[in-house]
Amino acid sequence: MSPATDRILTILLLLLLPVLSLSTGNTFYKSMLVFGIINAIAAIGLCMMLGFAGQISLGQSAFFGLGAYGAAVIANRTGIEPVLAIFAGALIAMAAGWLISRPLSRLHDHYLAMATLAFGIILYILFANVRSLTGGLDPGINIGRLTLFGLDLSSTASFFWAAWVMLLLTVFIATNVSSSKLGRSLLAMKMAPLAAASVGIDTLRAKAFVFAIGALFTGLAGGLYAYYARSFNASAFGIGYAIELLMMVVIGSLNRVSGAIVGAFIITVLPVLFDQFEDYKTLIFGITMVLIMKYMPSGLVDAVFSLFGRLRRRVVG
Amino acid sequence: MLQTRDITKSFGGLRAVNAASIEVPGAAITAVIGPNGAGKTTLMNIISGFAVPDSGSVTLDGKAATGARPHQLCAMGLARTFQNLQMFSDMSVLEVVTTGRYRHQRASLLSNLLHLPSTRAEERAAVDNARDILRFLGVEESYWERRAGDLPYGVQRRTEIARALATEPKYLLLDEPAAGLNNQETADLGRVLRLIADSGVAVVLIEHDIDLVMDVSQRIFVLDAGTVIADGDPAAIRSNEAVIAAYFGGEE
Repeated sequence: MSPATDRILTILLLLLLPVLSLSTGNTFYKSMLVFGIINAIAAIGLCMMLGFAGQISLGQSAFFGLGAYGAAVIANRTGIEPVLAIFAGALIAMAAGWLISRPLSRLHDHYLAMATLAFGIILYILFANVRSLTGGLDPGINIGRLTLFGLDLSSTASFFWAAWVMLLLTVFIATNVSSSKLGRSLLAMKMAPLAAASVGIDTLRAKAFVFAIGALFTGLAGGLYAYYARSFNASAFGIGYAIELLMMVVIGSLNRVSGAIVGAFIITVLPVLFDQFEDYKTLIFGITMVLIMKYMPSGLVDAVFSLFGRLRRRVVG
Repeated sequence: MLQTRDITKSFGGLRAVNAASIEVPGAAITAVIGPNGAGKTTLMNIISGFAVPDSGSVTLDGKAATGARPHQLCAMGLARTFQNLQMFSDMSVLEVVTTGRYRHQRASLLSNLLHLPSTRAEERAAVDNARDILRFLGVEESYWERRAGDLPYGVQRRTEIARALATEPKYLLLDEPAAGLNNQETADLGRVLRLIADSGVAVVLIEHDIDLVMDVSQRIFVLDAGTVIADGDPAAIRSNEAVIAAYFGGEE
């Protein structure tokens, strides 16, 4: 998929969401849209790390959790504007991403996957056990309603708009990164790190940047999740969620924002379409991921696009 | 002036570079030659910050550059290409060369994240600059939008040189740029190297193709087993006894 196709597809997707939300009165469908958007924001964070910069992370659930707990704890203890609490949670996740990038900077591929997985597990254990702060698995933690200047946005219909605006913001920044020198420097580091360094790119800084911004968006999604769920416990931030995020990015398109959005909605909706999906989730995800990585290394949506491109060339030419 | 002084580097028991001192003046082509395993690439990696010497020093225009990291050396005016192409394969040729403008794009992080006018202007300037360099090196315009990894080897070589030139180096290190090129492409490369040197860049050429080296270089350093055994202009090197013995294997 070319950057231009990506941009058009992204805009269409972003416009489609309000149409879908307005065209259904069913709260359940609307809540699927909200969860889809939250997942899309988190997946874009991972897409920037894995797709833009080749830095795999199996610990995104930790950033999601830091964003959620960060927002909840700060909101509960200080009573600041909920939106500010969400941003504060995202900043905490960002700081964590930036901090772990240095010790991880010498690791590649499956070593990086293992290390980030370990990070995810450690944070999960912390979320579950530092109960004075997080409430652990039981009783968990509660958070107030999402409001903006006194306006109550906690109903699913209005929460949709809050989440949608956050998605716009995320897409705007992610697209700017990919179309600027920042995106080129990440791509350069992914494809030929020695050459990237030789044209003046500080690869340690580039990695720190992408870990920070990837964690920021996944943390932002975590903050939104906290306000939407309003009551949650550590089980939401297990490694399972990190794997789901990876699935979203891999199913969509490894290095395109539109792919992350499509992937997020597919993974969000699948369990609803198929009753028994939960039981076979791990098996299905595992097999799908292996097949996609083997036969469509740039992602499913990307593969479909290049197939269409080839067909069209054959018909025209 | 780029200088190395008594550079020594061992890998395990093997002394790859042994007290090597070379000097590279500006706006000329200086070649480093030697048989396989003579330590040319190791010396190159030390100069460009990809390896740290056990002892000895590197100076760039009188400033200490020993042990500096590659991106810092880039900022000091050093650029290089790689023996086994290090291509940004999935980018278009134009994007690859635009990436070389990285250190000259100084808009703030915030400006980049928000795509402010300063970033947009800078992007346009970087792309224009990349176009100029590709034209300068004679890379046909029909290749510019193509995926770099799909292009013929010779075009990728020139794209790599263009990427290095885009950093506006004072010193350009080329590690076997003629490797894998046919005769026509090698002749073209020779012309390109002269053009680059004439534009005021000091070219350091590490090369196996002895005809190319003799043809374009003003000064040649000969390495054998990590030691500089001779240096001088092409005529002097051609008639040097030690070089003939070590490098030409005594055949002549």
